[in-house]
Amino acid sequence: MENTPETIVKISSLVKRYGDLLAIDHLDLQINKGEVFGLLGPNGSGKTTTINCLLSLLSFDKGSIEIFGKEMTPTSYDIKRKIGLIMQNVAVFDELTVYENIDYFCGLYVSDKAQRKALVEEAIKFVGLDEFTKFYPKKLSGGLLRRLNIACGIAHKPELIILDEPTVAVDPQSRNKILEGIQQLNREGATVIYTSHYMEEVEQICSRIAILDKGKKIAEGSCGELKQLIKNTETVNIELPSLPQNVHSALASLPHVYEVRYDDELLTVRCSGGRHNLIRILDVLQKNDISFGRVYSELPTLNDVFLEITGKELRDKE
Amino acid sequence: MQVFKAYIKVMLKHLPTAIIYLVVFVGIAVAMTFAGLGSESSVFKEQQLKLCVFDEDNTAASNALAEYLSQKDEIVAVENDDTALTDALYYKTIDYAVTINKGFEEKLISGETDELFTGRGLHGDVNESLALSRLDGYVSAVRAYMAAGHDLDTALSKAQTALADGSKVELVAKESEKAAMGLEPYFRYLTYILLCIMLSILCPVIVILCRSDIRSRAQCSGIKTTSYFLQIFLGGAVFVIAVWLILVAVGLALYADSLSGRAAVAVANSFVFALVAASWAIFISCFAPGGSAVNVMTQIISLANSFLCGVFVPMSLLSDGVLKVARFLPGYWYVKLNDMLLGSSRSVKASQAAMYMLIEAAFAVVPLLLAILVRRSARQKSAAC
Repeated sequence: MENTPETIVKISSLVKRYGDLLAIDHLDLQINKGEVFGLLGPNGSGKTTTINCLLSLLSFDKGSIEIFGKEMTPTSYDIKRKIGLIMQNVAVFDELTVYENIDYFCGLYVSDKAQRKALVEEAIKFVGLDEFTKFYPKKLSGGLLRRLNIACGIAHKPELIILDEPTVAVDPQSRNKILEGIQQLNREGATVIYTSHYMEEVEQICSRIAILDKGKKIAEGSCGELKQLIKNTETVNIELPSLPQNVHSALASLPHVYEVRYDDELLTVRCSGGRHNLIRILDVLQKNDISFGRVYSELPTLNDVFLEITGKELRDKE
Repeated sequence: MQVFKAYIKVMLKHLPTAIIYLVVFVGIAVAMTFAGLGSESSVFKEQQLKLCVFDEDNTAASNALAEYLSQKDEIVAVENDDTALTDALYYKTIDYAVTINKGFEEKLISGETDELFTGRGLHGDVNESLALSRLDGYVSAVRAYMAAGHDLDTALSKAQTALADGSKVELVAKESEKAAMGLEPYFRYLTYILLCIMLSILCPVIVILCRSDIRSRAQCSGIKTTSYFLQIFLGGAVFVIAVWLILVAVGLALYADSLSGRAAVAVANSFVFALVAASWAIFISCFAPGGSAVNVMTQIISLANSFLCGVFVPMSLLSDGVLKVARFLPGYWYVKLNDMLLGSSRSVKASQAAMYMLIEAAFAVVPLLLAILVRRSARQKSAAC
């Protein structure tokens, strides 16, 4: 199939092996212009390997990768100039100031000094490091360091930005700022590939998501589409001091309930479809004269999607 | 040249360490040089006493003795008074006072030895012993000539001539002391300082520039891999050449009077060693050591190379076993050639010098090849993780 003009990244039947270990198993991905595409998966699922193959930092065994309609190779410098990379680790020089660091990484793409100066200043403003330009990285907090890391990756105004778990070990306030920044970059026209194992982040910013497990794509779609893939529609949690067996059975026999668990004085009831599930559950408890504490109901998250999908996958293999 | 500029900036942050090494080394060299200039210990001079001579005999023999003493020592005039002499001895105006007793000449002719002189000095003082030894020597010499059949006048004259000649003194030990302040030791110590500077500065800078995350960013950018490494190489080359030039220039400026064709070969030898030190720094950088590990390795390598290869302790004092081990270190070949060019042996053929430098160069090439292998294997390992 030929690439449409909107397709920025096309990965076809990508296979990467580390000896006997199959790190990426026939992966197909298509990322379109203007998308914030999330690569979601647990540690070791193949997210970073996929990114490394995409950037030609790693060779692969089979398949093909096209970026901006051209085959990506280690010497595709014209393609690389349009890509910005923000890695999981803060990859900056401790010996250079904030300004010098951004200028250095921007200089790897932009040789014109005047143009670079403007870009560096813009990047500094974008990440809000105006007051820290003369600071050395060691003097910055974890959140500010992450922002510096981002500024180094985006200063040259790339068309495709790849963020590999940029919020690892970041406080919630800084995390929100980073996520807002990514959304702003996307609004300004950049296509974003975002890898993370934080489901809520991916859910918050990604327009399309691929879930990886053991190097295989197990699901792909928008957040809503992914949630429709699973049978869980509601999870009811109730704090109980004890749960007699007859009550457990009564709950399990309720319509739409497909799983009842009681661990550590917490009753978890998973429901698939239906309405008024919470009322029916509380009614059973009341009829059996069971007193209870806190009650809360949750709608499915990507976490549920992932758990359910990977669980099935694993069971199928076994 | 973005990478080159970053290299220089990162290196400048590590420069204070290099400056400390340079200042200490050059300071010691300058101090040793100026301390050596005009040092009396490097020249032999017979001990001179400050003597006070009273001639109560006033004969040809006593006059000849007084004249002999005036040639050998400094004669100081002091009043022939007990208090004045005591003061002169106390204040070290004189070292010894000699009174040539009346009847000196007669006793000399008759062969009597008792009470020829009366001496006064500080009891147990070395100057007293020296003065008595000088007087005894003179009397013995005169008697020897008289015993040989010469008359008194001839014996006095011959004794004076014989004693004036003295012994010919050649300062063999002082040669090495002289060398301790010259071009040879300066270039010898260069091995230590070059290793220290290269390992402690070049190594951490390369570690930083080749950090996998920083390099990955560069690999993903528009810069070509060859250009990236060429710029790092250029930065390293600038540093190595600058350090080597400074050290050689200081050495040549301090010992300008020792310059010769051999010195030019020694300079070339030092450049080869600078490359060896740089190559070792590159090899160690492959293991990405931290700051304290670099310091420890710098001290171990530079001190081991210096002690085993005759930098601090002359090779002649090292055992055969140590020298056998030292052959596997570049410092051995460097120091050996340096000694042949500038040291005491001063015998070297052009082919021999070239061979020694080639052996040294091999110590630069092998770590470089190993560094390439280690980096390649590390890359494959990280790719497999």
